[in-house]
This record gives sequence, structure tokens and C-alpha cells, in this order.
Amino acid sequence: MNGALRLPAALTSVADIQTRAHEIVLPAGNLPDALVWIHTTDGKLSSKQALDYLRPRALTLPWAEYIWRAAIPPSHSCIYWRLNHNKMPTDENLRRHGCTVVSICSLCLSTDESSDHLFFRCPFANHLWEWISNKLRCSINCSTAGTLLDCRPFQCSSQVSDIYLAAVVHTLHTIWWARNSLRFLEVTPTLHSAKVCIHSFIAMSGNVSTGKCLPSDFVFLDSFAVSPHRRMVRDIVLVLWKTPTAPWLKVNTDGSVIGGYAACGGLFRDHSGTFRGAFVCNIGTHSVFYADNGNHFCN
Amino acid sequence: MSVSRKHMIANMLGFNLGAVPFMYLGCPIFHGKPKAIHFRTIIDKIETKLSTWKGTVLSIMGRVQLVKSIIHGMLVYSFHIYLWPKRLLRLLDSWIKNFIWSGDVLAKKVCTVSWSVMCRSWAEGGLDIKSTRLMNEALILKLAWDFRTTESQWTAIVKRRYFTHGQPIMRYCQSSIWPGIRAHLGTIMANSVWVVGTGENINFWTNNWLGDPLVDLLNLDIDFHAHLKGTV
Repeated sequence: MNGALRLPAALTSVADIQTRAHEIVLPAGNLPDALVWIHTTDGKLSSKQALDYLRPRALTLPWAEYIWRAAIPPSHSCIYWRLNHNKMPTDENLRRHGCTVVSICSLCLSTDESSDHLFFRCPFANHLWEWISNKLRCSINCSTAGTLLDCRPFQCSSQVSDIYLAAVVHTLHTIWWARNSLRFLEVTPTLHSAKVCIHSFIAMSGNVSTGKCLPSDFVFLDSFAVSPHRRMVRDIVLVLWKTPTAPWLKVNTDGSVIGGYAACGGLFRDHSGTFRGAFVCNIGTHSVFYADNGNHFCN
Repeated sequence: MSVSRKHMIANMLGFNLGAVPFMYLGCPIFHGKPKAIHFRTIIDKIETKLSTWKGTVLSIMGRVQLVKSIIHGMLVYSFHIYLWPKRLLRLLDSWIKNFIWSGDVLAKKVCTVSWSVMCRSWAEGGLDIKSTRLMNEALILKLAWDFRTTESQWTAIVKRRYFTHGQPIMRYCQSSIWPGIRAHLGTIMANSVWVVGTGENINFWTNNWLGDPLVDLLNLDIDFHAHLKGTV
């Protein structure tokens, strides 16, 4: 006690215990002993963390969280989700689970129905995918459900990203809707009505989206009848910059993060305010906080 | 306790005589280990709710939302206290699963994503549904954690009743909450470390304050553990 642990003499001979005991910091005052949960940073256990600890883990999937957006109706996202798990109740899947059904693709009447055929190979679906990829000005890889979302550009504003997602999800939904209305309601949906349907859904999602866009996206959004959500521009505030005293240089630094990539920079000025030098530095993937601090390391 | 003695106490305190089991603030109170029969009222309520809902006019995701916000809310209250029988939780899960896919508690659908996949989080490709079994386990783990880390009247009572020499009693004790807490004490001990303060409450030998308990570091025999009582 009193700032250091006294171990029984027999234990001091064991090196491992000795080193471990030395690492323990004893409090100066009389603090009570505390039990600490090792999987959390604050050592406390909340119900959520308890659930997280007990929950069986699985690999995170790249598309999974992305498809559940506020702008997309969950019932539509659900079709994409189900298709990705290959559990759409198409004839092929029903047969696999032991249902005896006569299988024919309702949309083209040429071959039996499978998830792969109905959503990607059928002429009806193919036409819609081509049409939508022309509208998005990109090529959609419809070999499997997983590759559909690869069409969105690597870096784009959040509202545009929502449009790409909406296009894919609503097209899948419309194909499924067309198949069901043919099969159960015996209404023949035309390609035109399908396109109108997709277009209006995308417009709805795009307008509801909470994402923001850049001025360069206006034309793209306009082609989907979506009103652009501009980023709020803060008022410009004038600040005073004082010159340093004679032998000193003053350096002003800043850092920023765009799309996870951080960079920082700064410039030097002397007592008369003339520019003496500058630096910029790309510091890879980091947080804003790091980017701002990164300046000091660069110096 | 004899009947006359009961009446005397009831008269003295001005209470009415009741009998277990009964519901107290929406939570069943009973003797002994939680059994299916004790939760009948809650289960029946859930069954009527699931079957009277116009499940068929909603989409799958609509039904998922209903389950998450209403059914889980109805259960969570008693999950905080009792470890429910596993058979009952399995039944509940199957009802919920059937309701989500078909809108009917008893109608099974053919082509469904498996329950374990549905229970995964959004990022792992699931629907972020919490299986009732897991919810119950987690909340009881939390209860056991509160029991170990906080000092209050109920923890003092439980400690006096079910602990001897700082070790939980191994034989069966008639209690409705103790079986749940006892089941999770091991998990807590395996996943926590003592931060040494005054050292009064830490068992020098068996508690984990060095990263591993000393008895494990020294490979001491397990029968010997009960005799090690020194504090840090």
C-alpha cells in the first residue's frame, strides 16, 4: 500500500507477476475498487454493448447499409435486399423449396423463370437497364445483384449518390411489379408505363433525399425532375490579420477532409505582410481533427 | 407462515392479503424459477396483437417496423428482470418470423431469408431485428453487471441471500431473478478487470486485477480457491 504494491515474498520471484504488478498505477487518494468491462472504452456496460458482445458477428457487406436510405421506401429496398440473398419468390426458388409449379417467365414467355433471368436477362429487364444506364450516363453491370450498385461514381455529392441508388432499387421494384401484375392481375404493363413508373419514383426519392449537391450536378438532377438541394453557404465574415513583429514570420495553417481524404497547408508572411513561402501536404485518410493537427507535424 | 399470523401482519400494516402470481406494474411477480406459465399473460397479449393486426395489407418492411417498435417494447420490460424460458423465446421468435413474412402468426412462407441472417445488423446484410433470446440474454447480462458494480439495497439483499464468503451459492435457490444473474456472473468475470483502489473488495488470489487472476498465473488447484481470502 501507500503508493506501491507490496507483494508476498514468494510471489516476487515470479518475473511475470512482478512486471505486471509494477505496471499498475495506484491512486493517491482512497478511491474505491472498480470493476471495468474490457470491451468498452469507458469500462461501463450498457444494454447496447451487452447486446453487441453477445451478438454473433458476420462480415460487413459493402452494399448492405447503403441501401437503407430515408429517401428510398423500405419496401423497395427490401426487394434489393431479398434479391441479394437470392430469396425472391421466383418460380426457380419456389421449386428449390419443394413447390411444384409450372415455370415460365411472364414477361417474355420464352423460358422458365429464375431470379437471374427475370431481373437481368429478360428482354423487358434488359431494355429497362439500358434505358436507365443511358439516363444515368454510366454503364450498369447487371451480371449479378451485387454489382448493380457499382455504377455510382467514386466521388459524388450525396444527393446524386441517392439518385443512383434510387435508380437501381426502383428499376428492380418495377420489374417485380410488372411481373406480378402480369401474373396475378393479368394487366399487361408496357415498357412505357414501366419507365414512367421508375422515373416518378426516382423523382420522389431525389426530392425527399436529405443529401446536398454541387452546382455542377444541376443538369443531371434536372434530367430526373429533381430539385437540387444546395449546400448552405455560410456568411462570409471579415477577420483581422495582424502582421508579426520584425524578425518573425507568421504562418497560417488549415486542414480539410473531403471524402475521407485529408490534406493540410499553410503560408508564411513576414512583418510587412509579403508572401514568403507556403506548403501543402496530402496526409491520406484521416479525420478533420488529424488534418488540422497534421499541420504541426508537417512543419 | 400461518394464516392467522398473515392476517395479523396484514391488519397491522393495513395491506390486503394477496397471492402470487400477480401482475405488478405490468410485470409478473411469482415464486421460483421463471416458467412459461408465468408469462402467459404477456404471451397472450402479443399473440392477439400479432393476429389482429392487419398484417396482410402491410409490406414486409412495414411488419418489421411493427415488430421492432411494438412487440419488442412489450417484451423488454420483463426481459430486464427475468431470464425467460428458452422454449418460450423460440416460440416467440417463430411467431415473429412468420408474422414478418406472411402477416400471419401461424402461416409459414416457403422462400424466406433465414432468421439468423435477418437478425444481423444493417451493415452485415440483415434487417437489424433482435431475436428475443438475444435481447433477453443481453438485458440479463446488464442486470448482472449492475449487480456486480453498483451498491444499492437490492444488490445488498441478493448478496446476503445468495453469496457465502464472496462466492455464489452453487445449490438451487428458489428465486425468480437469481438464476438469470448467476448464469452471467461467469461472463462478467471473464470480460472484466479490477482497477485497484483501496483494495478492500478485491480478492488477491481469485479476482482478475493483474490481467489474469493470480490462481491462473500460478496454476493453483481449483479446490484450493475457496481458502484464498486475502485482499489486495
